[in-house]
Amino acid sequence: MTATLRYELRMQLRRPAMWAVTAVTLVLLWLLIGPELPMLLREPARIAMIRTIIFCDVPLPIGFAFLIADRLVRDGRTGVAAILDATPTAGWRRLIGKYLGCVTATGLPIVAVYFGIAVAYAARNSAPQALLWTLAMFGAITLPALLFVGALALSVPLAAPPAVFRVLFVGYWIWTSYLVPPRLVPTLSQTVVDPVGGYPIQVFFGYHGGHAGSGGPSDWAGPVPGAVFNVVRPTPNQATAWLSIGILLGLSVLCLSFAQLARERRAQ
Amino acid sequence: MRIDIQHLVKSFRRDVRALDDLTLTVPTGMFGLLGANGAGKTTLIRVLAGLLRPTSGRVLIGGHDVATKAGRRDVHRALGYLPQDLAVYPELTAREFLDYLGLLKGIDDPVLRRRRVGELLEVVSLSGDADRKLKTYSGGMRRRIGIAQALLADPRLLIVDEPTVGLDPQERIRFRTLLAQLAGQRTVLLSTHIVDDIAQTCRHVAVLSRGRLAFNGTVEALTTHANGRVWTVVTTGPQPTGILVSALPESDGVRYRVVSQTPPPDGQPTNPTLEDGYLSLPDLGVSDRRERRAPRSARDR
Repeated sequence: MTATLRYELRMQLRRPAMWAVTAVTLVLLWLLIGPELPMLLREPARIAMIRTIIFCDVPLPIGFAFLIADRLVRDGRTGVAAILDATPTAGWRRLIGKYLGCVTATGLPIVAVYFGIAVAYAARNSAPQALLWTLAMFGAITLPALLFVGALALSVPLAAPPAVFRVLFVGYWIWTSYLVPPRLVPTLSQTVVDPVGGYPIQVFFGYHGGHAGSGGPSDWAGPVPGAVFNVVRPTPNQATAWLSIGILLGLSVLCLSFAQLARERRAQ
Repeated sequence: MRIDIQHLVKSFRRDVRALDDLTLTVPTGMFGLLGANGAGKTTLIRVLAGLLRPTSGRVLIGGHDVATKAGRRDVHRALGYLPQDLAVYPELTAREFLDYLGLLKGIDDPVLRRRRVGELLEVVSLSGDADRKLKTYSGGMRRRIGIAQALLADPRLLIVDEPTVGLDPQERIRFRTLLAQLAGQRTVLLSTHIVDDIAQTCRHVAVLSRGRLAFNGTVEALTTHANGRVWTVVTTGPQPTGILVSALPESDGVRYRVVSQTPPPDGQPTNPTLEDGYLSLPDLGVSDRRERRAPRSARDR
């Protein structure tokens, strides 16, 4: 498993596409966050860091999913899988190694963006606590989302071509994000299966700031009067916040199990 | 490491039988597997390598049943496998690729692994290019890396599928000589449609045709199968009847070599070669092959 992790990480970091997609994503992020940055740096550390994470959580995971989408299918398409499958290392060990290697490598630019902004904030405001907030927020909000997106991007292309997956993923990601108001459109936003992490944002970090473009305070989790899917919008509390994280991790395991089953079926 | 195949059937969708009630024993040593494209060689190899599950029948390798997970794991510990279309990771160097596969093959000691990778790069004459990325390698160089990876864990069973495709004549001779040298205490299963590779390296050969065993015996027995059926004819007229082996233009016409039960007009009997013996097998008649397509193997899909 560690061998696959190490080499998948190395291969992903050496891919020119990895840095091209990262560059494009950063440009998009700059367009989104750039005008807000001076104001963001004047906010208290907790608010500044949570808003950074919220801004980043729309474009960065899309680039992340794009880059992971072909990692597993290429082994079968190119034929490398035949050599790997003829080794004594179990297929599921290689799958986990590949998953962790891809997620780590592709997640590195995201970590660099978060902590880059946090370091800039900490230096400008003499507020080292920004780094701790970022660490906690990354662990509770972004990491579960990346683990889920990584598993989804690795496994779905076994059933649909990577290009189709990428198009569908953009739609899915925007549809489930805070950009789509639940009152107007049936969406998974603000539910416990919301991959952007509305429950941890609200419960663990007490953030009730306005959604992008909404201009006013609002909730990030919980029931929305008149919205569809309120059955998966329980009252936000510690238990439901942890449940939200647990669901994302559970879905990740489910995706990887599907990938393993699909690979085993290929041998039948 | 002996391979016992009993009544092996491998079917794909729409009941296409790529392997049809195949029974074969492969002893220790060098063993050739011949057959036309689509005869089922690659499907058989993929079953033996544990990459495809048999539909029915039994395959035991060194006593391990490849239909079971535990059996496959035991076989994989002893296996070196070179697939027909070798693929590599283009982002890795040759040394890294071999190191990675060494780890997957259970060579955990880094010093031992480094030494083994170095030795094999030497064997396949790629030491000077070991730190170049594989995307810069030619087809022949990649093939040599494939050979090196198959030998990494000093396998007791070596299965090579069309290993000399893409190699230049010198490399081809060097590689098949290497295989023959390795065969001492190992089982080396060489699958190919290049008859000359078998003629130069194997004592035993099996021939597959449409997923069935068309021949199993020594190379000499297959050669003598064509005794009294090989003819040369020099003519300016039409091609003589029979299975055409070769046609060589000469000053007084074309010299044809044919395999035929009955002598063609002006035909001179000639000593058979392994290729003649292969072509003379009843299940492999050229007209037969032209008229009926063999079932496609999984590899061809």
